[in-house]
Amino acid sequence: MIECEVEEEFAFHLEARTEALIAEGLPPADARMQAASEFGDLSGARAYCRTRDRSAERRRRSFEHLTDLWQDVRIAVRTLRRSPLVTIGAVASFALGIGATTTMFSIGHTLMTSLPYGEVDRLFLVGGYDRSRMTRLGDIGLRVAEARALRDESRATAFGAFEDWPVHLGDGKTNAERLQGSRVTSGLFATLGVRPFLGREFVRSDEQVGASPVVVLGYRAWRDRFRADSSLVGRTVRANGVTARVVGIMPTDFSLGGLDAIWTPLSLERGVLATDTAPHLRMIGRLREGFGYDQAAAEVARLGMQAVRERRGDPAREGLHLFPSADWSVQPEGRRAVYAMTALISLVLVIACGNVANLLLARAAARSRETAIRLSLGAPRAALIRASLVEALVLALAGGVAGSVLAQLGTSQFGRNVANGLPTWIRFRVDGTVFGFALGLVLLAALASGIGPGWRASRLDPLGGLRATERGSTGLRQGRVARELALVQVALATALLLLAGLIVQGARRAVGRDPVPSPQQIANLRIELRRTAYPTAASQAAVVGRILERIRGLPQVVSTTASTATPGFTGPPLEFTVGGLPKDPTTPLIAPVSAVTAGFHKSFEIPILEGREFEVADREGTGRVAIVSRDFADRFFPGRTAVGGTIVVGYPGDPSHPGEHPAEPATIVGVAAGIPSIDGSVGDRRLIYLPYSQVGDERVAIAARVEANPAPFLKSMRQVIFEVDPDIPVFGDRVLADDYHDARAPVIFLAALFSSFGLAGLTLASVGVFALVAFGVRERSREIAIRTALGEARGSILKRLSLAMAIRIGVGLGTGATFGTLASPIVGEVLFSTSPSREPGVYVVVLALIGVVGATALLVPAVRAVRVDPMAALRND
Amino acid sequence: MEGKIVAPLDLMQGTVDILVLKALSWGPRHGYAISGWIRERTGGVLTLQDAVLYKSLHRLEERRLLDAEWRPSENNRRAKYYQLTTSGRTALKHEHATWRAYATAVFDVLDANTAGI
Repeated sequence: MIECEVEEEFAFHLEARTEALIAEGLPPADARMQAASEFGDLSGARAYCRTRDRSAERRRRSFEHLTDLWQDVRIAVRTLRRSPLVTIGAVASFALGIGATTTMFSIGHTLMTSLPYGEVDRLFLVGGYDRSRMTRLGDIGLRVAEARALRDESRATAFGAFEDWPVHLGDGKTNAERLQGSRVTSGLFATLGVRPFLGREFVRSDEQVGASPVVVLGYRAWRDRFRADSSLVGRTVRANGVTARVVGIMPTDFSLGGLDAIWTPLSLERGVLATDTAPHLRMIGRLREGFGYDQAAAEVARLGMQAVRERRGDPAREGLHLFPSADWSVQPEGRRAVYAMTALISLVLVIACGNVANLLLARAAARSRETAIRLSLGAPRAALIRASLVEALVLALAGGVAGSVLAQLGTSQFGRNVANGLPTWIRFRVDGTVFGFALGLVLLAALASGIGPGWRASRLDPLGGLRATERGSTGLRQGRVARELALVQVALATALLLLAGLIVQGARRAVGRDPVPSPQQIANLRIELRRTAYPTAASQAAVVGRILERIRGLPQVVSTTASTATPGFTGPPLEFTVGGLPKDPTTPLIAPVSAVTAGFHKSFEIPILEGREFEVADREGTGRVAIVSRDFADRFFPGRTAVGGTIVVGYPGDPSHPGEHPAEPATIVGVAAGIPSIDGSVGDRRLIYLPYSQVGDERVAIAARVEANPAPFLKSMRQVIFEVDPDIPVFGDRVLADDYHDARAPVIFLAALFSSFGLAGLTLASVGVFALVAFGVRERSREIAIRTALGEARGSILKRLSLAMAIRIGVGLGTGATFGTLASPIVGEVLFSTSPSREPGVYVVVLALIGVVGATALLVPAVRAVRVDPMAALRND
Repeated sequence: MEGKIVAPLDLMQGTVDILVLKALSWGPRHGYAISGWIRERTGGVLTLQDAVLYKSLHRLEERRLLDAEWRPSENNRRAKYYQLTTSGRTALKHEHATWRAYATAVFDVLDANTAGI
């Protein structure tokens, strides 16, 4: 085209000029030559002009595409506005699907926010490593000597060490306050790439023996406790019973290992720390300039081998390894679980896409006459597909906007309800990445639901379409794909609902009962005893006894007790052996252990099923005793009484047995009833109780059951503790019922979140099945009318109409149930330890629910169709 | 090139464009007519190769300063007629002013020189 045009234009010019020159009197040959010479570079001009024309053509065409697209959008909007109910349904489907998926993604994305340190990709954590399985061992601590070896000998990595180290900050006027923080080696903050907001961090001289005590405060502690007084740096505070100088304030979002209130110096030098032998230290390192990860990892593995050998471990089996610091906030398994959950939740969106595709297909069928005309008039098939895609896109965009709002709500609610314990730098909000994800979903959804109907419309045989319309049925018939869509939707909805049911059931189990009766009458607080002031179990038991006695003297107190773990919150899991059972070195026995005072079980109304509870007579110097839970007794003393049996527990708080030395055997004197768990973490219900007077501990929870309102009573308890020792910090003072409520809030919220996802899936799928059946019935209305007129029984027609779909729903149910069962371990891993085998009730309810909903969606349109007067139906054609 | 007092000047691209725009300011014309008009108007002082003219036409069309349309010519043959678009008209006005200012400036310099001799 373009080639010819340029040629024709030039030819016209040359001929006209030649004629003019001949008219002026030149001979024809000369005239032609003169014209050509005036024209100049003909082939150059030809090439140039063609290029220009082609580019102009391209621009024109893309402009036309744009106007066509705009036209499509306007048509789509107009069509959609004509049937508002259907449109709202489709948009709502998309909104639910996109909202649910984006919420889950946004939560996962936020949990994986990188640490607020500089150049986090060069920061690594030292962790235990199982060589044989090549997996990470749980958070293992390092000994001082091991940490020193890493710090001094590593060439590739600059290491710093830290350990949890709370500080009691007192002013002598009120109870001391307990600030959560760590001891850190000098220069660690610089290694992390964080500079103090005010003042300086620790230097080598702060670590020296005899150096004057110094602390660095966290931003929030500084703001809340010292009213953001910038003159605080250089002044002194009373920390852990000594006077210490504040040398720095850290910036707002800084936290280390999740703790963010206060830091004190840690020395790795030989003999400085009393806890030289206990492995408590964690290490973080930054790759030095010019070194890569591989070199650093090899070095750590080598140094770790020595460490393991010194521990008399097996260097062939375990060692040390460098883990990316990103693993700190969310472990790789957690990350996988989050992705798996996102994928599961996206099933809601898949169902929604099915609905919208079905809707567009029905719309396309209704328009098949128009489509046939357009096709026979030469409309390109691509234009038909594009129109369908645009319609889907308009719906998906509207759904995406609404879905983003839902995701924003869901995410911030999640942050409020679930994320209480997370570090401050993790903020739950919808950011650019999440928004991009939502936009991606919109495009995917539009493509998934728009391409099928568009494709089918474009394949319509124009003649067939026109003829079919004349005969009153539609040119586009419900395709095989559309019918299988019902199967898929039912399957997905079943799977979703099943998983949601498992979660809800797990949550119900979790929140069904309070761990102890009437927690709203129990005032509960925690204290911490400093080792320097209370070094032995006897001295700890003495001061706790004094506090309990004085609280008991307060008015309206029914009973009071102290323990290292309030019922419902389990104590530390510790290794134990049972007398008479051989010790298996490969799988040590572990159970949560609490140290409790006499009268603990009576006070919390935990029944003693056998034997007796602890008495005041069980104290240091008398025979060691223990109480175990019924589950424990059933497991280790099957078929006989546990009372009289012996167990050995290595209790770390036991001052007479520091470290890993074996403890004395304790005689079991009683068996207590189990305690319902509080947050769905069913865990191990095999509990061991030891008398606090025999083992002691630094951290103690003190509870008082009172007749009055326990909230104001907590103040009196604080006062009593202040009078006994003003340096003992009091924290976590709450009514026990409130503690339980907070602990359950995430469970309840997650259950609500997931059941709403499940219900959304069910609603969408039932609407989908209903629409599919209604569509199928409508296209056969003529056939139904003829059959009825010919006297076929309604029941038989009904069967003919719905049998195929009923079979599909049945197959969908089965497939969904299987899929849901296969996927259930993911749910169990992330949320609660539920399992399909424990919840047959969930299966019954879900299958019945889907069955009823499916049958209704199936029968309502079919029954309506056979009830129609056959003559009326035929006349309507 | 015939012997003239002033040697014919080669035209620069921008110059051709403004001449083309001007040639079309009285209405649609085809390339041959524009060529003739420019030849007449400049009295042979400016030589404009037709190749250059057509390049300019197609360039201006691509830039949408011109619209083109095929229709019968005076002696009833198919010819490509060009006409100014709205933006073409604006461009002409703008270029015209620029040229006038430019030429004035050049003349001011040249006249000053003459006075100095």
